[in-house]
Amino acid sequence: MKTDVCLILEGTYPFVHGGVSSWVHKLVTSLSDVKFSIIHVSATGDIIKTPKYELPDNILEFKEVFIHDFINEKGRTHGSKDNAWKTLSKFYNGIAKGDFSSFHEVYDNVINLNKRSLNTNDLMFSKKSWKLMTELYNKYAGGVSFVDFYWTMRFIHRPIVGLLRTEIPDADLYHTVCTGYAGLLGILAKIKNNKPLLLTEHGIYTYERKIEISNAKWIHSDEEPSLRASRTLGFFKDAWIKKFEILSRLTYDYADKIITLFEGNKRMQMEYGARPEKISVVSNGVDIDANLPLTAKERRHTNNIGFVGRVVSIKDVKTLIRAMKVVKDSIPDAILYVMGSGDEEPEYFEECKVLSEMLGLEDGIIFTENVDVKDYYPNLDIVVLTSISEAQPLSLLEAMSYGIPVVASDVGACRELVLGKDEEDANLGPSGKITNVGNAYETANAIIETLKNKELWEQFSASGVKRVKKYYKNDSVIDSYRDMYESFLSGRK
Amino acid sequence: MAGIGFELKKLFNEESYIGDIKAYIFAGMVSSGPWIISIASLGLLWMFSSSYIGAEFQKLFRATVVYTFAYSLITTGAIQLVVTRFLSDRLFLRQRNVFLPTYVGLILLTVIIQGITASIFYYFTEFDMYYKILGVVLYVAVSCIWQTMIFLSAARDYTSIVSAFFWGCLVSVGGAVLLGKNYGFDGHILGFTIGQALIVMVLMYRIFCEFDSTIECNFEFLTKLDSYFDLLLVGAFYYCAIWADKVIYWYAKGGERVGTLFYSHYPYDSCMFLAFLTIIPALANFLIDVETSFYEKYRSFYGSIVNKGALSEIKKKKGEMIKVIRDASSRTVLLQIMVTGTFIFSAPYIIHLLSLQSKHLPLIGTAAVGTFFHVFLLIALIFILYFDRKKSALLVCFFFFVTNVLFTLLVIKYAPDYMGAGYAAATFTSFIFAFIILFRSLRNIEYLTFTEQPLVNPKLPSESVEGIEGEGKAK
Repeated sequence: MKTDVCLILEGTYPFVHGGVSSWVHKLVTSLSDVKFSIIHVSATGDIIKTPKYELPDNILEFKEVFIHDFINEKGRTHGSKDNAWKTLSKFYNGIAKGDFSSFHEVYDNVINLNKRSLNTNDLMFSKKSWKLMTELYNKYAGGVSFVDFYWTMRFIHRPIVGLLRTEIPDADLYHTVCTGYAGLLGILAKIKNNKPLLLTEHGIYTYERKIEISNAKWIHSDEEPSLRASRTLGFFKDAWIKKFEILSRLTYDYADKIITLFEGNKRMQMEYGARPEKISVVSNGVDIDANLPLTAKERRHTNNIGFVGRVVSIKDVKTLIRAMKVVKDSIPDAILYVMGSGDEEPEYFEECKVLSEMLGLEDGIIFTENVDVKDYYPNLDIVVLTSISEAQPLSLLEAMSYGIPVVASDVGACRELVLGKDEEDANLGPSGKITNVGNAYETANAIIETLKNKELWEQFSASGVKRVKKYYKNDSVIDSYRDMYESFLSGRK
Repeated sequence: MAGIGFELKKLFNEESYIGDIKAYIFAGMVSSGPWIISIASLGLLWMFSSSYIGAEFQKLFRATVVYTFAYSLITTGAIQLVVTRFLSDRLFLRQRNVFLPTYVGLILLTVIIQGITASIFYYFTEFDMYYKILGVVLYVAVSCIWQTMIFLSAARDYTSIVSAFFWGCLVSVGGAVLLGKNYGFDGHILGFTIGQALIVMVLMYRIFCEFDSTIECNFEFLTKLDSYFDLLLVGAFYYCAIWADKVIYWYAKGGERVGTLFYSHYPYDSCMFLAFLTIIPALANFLIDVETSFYEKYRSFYGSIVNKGALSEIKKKKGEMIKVIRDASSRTVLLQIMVTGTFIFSAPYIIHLLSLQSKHLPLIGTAAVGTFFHVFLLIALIFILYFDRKKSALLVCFFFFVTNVLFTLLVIKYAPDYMGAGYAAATFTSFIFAFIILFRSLRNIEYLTFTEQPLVNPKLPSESVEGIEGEGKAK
């Protein structure tokens, strides 16, 4: 079944809550006349996931692929495959020098299934693959632990090799919502079907993986940690980061258009190799007409503090909990509502609960898990975000549309959402306060000051509503995507 | 098997030339002692017994004993590699307490299965009841001896094995002669059986002393038959291959029927058994090499992988390991040439000793040459198993079996004068085949070690590394 647009998603809609998921849902429901198909990249098929959203009728096909489910293609194809191996060697030696241009040859000679291309057995188990691997080892990794090198290479390549044979739904436009594995599928779809590829990147994939990998304990590190303050994370962590850098870089190269949410992200994409002329900024939007701010009269000022988002480590909820301890000392009736699911990182969720108990905040913090935040917004007096990394958080935009002041860490687009992105925007006034990452004390002071100073509160509230109305209306976001889709689809063959 | 080697190394360090000889003899005794003692006692009995039992009975007795040894080795040989592997895995896991229950289980199984098979066999013979019962007892006893030896080898109690055989065979010979003189043929075989039964009892006693744990039955090793199925087949094919040419000759021209169901081929059997003794010095020498210099290199090769060595280091260790294998093999070649040469030069005396005709002179030569290659086939096979290449080992054993059957049949049909040439051709081609497979695996050993790790359900690197180390230590 052929559709207009095939969305390529990774670890998001419709299985988890979050900014990207609600963005996708809104996009698909708003563009009800566009026929969509979705291909979703998941970790493994072993875990049964329940969809968190009901798929709208204009999603005609939904397909899941699993990176950890590896099916080995047994049996040999005939003929010499030397050319394929030569191409692959050239590609690896190229990317070591920052030259990504030979991927097309890799597709033709290695991936594209024919007699002389390589099947998964060739790639993972053959003598030639061992030869290539040792050649790369001698050139670029000589001296590091070989057993770790081998396993790193294996683990790095296994999901990629597993994805190469994915059957991608037929569509006139491929739209991937991140780089990484989804981006790779987008590239393969583009080359195979000769159709355009659109990339929308919310958080910067490479950067987010970098944070994860630096904290990973399962990757062997050759360096003695105490010996020197090294710039690198060690060979094996660097290798993992390199993998995601390469996937992102290739996606940037193959995408016909790159959309990002704000200027800061655009700069980061350019740093990771995206060509600036391809990048457009289309920010997030909120449904300002539905989210009517309460009038000053309606508001009860009960010192309710809100956190809206998944309870995961990248959101650094722990810093907020610590800040709550300080807030409680000066505003005893303050209550923090942590509104978001803990399913994704159950351990972290548990740790957060334990931490709040240890700090004696049982009465001051309420974990609501999944709730409709719309019921809560009218009664919140401030919304706080202490994330380590963010793109352009919808929760802040939503809070501002309800006229709720915000306190946010200085990551992603938070600063421009709160203080304005240019002079004209800044003239609307701040809609809250910006704090440093991981600084509980500063966060607490920002909360206390905003809640205690009524005048300030009113000013933040009013500026927020104005800013959303002016720059972040949902209708204009949908319109931009409708235009973009139309421009791609009008040229369809 | 590591302990004995290090003990041998101590011997080398202590003394000079005399010490060397002592070590060789010692190693020879422990690896092949039971063989020598058994064959020597059969030879002694042959010489003594002619005075009090007739030639016909002498042949019958010899056929009984040869059948017993051959078939008990073939049937138990299949399971022996599996049990050996099971025990060394347990030893690595420091679960010595399963040894005794496993032993009890294995012996129980052996007694039942071998008892039934032997009973069925003897049921179809025309012997009297007395002889039938003794025949079954002898067969079960000898089967139990082989099974017990695996356990004592695992415990490295070689001296017990050798001394049990020495005293047991002494009783066998003495008993057979004494009882034979007084009670004729029945007494002869009773005396022999008593001696063999004594060996079982002494070995069993040693086992119960060695593994001091509760006496119960454990059939856990049977659950491993599935995963070690390759090893089961390796054992089965190897022993079938060793006996294939002999069995074929029993039924060929020159073979004779002894009693109703026994067959034998006196010239062929006696030359082959005697020639097989020439394996001993070379195997002894090899045992020392493997247990000392090779084992160190083998460990340091796998150690370099496990301990996060660079590829260059792994390759260096691999080179050193292969060099040790080459050196050990070429030293063994020199030694074996001398032993085989001596054996062939003494062929005229051997003919006289075995009271054969001079037309059997070439048979001694081919038997010796066949055994010469057999040594290297065996050595290659041991190395192949050391590197845990069960599929390759199976291929080699199957190849040996097929060639031995094929060449022996061809020789009998087209060149009946060249007795033993079939066996020699089979060991020659099999040894070449085995060494090609061994060195091909060795050349790619680091590739094979890594690539054959499971991918679909990957163990974390650290776990699989322990796996590799475990393989190494389990040996």
